[in-house]
Amino acid sequence: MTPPRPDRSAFTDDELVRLVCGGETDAFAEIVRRTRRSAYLLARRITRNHEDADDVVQESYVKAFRALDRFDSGAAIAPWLLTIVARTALSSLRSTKRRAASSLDDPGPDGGASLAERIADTGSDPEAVERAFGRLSEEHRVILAMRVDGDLSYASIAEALGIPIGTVMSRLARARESLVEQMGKFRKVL
Amino acid sequence: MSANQPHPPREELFAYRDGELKADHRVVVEAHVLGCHACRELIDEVSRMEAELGAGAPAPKEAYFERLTERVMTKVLAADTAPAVERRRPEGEAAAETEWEEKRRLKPKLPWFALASTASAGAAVIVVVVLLVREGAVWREGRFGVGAGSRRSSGASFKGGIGQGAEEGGGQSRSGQVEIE
Repeated sequence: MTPPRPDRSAFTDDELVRLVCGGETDAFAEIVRRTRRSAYLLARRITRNHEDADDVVQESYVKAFRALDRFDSGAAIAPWLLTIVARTALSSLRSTKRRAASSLDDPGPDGGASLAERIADTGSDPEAVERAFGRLSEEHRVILAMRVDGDLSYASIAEALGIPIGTVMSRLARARESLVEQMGKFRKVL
Repeated sequence: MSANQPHPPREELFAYRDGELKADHRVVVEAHVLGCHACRELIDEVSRMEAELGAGAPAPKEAYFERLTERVMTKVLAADTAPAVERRRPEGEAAAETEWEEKRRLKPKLPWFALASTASAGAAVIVVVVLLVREGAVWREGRFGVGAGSRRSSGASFKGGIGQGAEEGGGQSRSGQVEIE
């Protein structure tokens, strides 16, 4: 049984990075703790599959750990890490070809909150948006996921996708227009 | 750009919503949005949808994330995924080695066949030089003999030039010198 790790929740990102690079590898657990939820949601949204998302997140953290000495000190670690997650998820998506959208009622391990609970919690109909999202092209899904789930800046998205910021702006705009259009169709059906 | 002017392009409108426009441009777009009901509606609609999209994400419970963290840490702590070694060693040592490696990497390298060619050429030059020296010695010996005779006719100045030849053909040389003088 591994001993409990010291509480490093009060450390800044920079301090954690310095600790890890100085040999205190355990401090990396705090970096994981701070970013794991966003990392998973982004990976899940891009891969549309829990197993792939789980693999992507683990692989991304290992990559991030190896590259930690190249992390730009002074910057927030989440966008840097989520850029790695987005790239890894895209790579996974292209290599595995497993793109079948999983149902909202298949939330992965531990069940998660049920659809009914989520609707009650948010007062919205996430299934409608999720369906509309599922009808978008892969290109539009990926860029929307990076913006919505990753909360990534245009510059980070541009870096992760290897495209100019102008292309990020136009692609994101088209993705949002498509989502609005899909939602309009969905509402008409209702 | 005002509310009565044409709407800004969608990408600029969304970039404004995302806080991605530069200050001067943001002011212009904002002035339009404040007076344009249609643009505000579009921005609100997108914000609402994205909030729903985020809320609808099927996130696992906390126990899953704890297990995920442990799995990540197990992989990270494995020997083959050790972080950048340079960062763990004393800075001076790592820097010196890095500098040396950098110099070594940047140093122009010759392929083996170029080195072999250079060595062969060098050896050939040495052989030629040795041959020329030996030929020269022979030539000088022979030339001196011939030259002694011709010098008499040409009057070329070999005076004291080559001792050996001078010694060997001393009489003639002396007579030659006499002739010149």
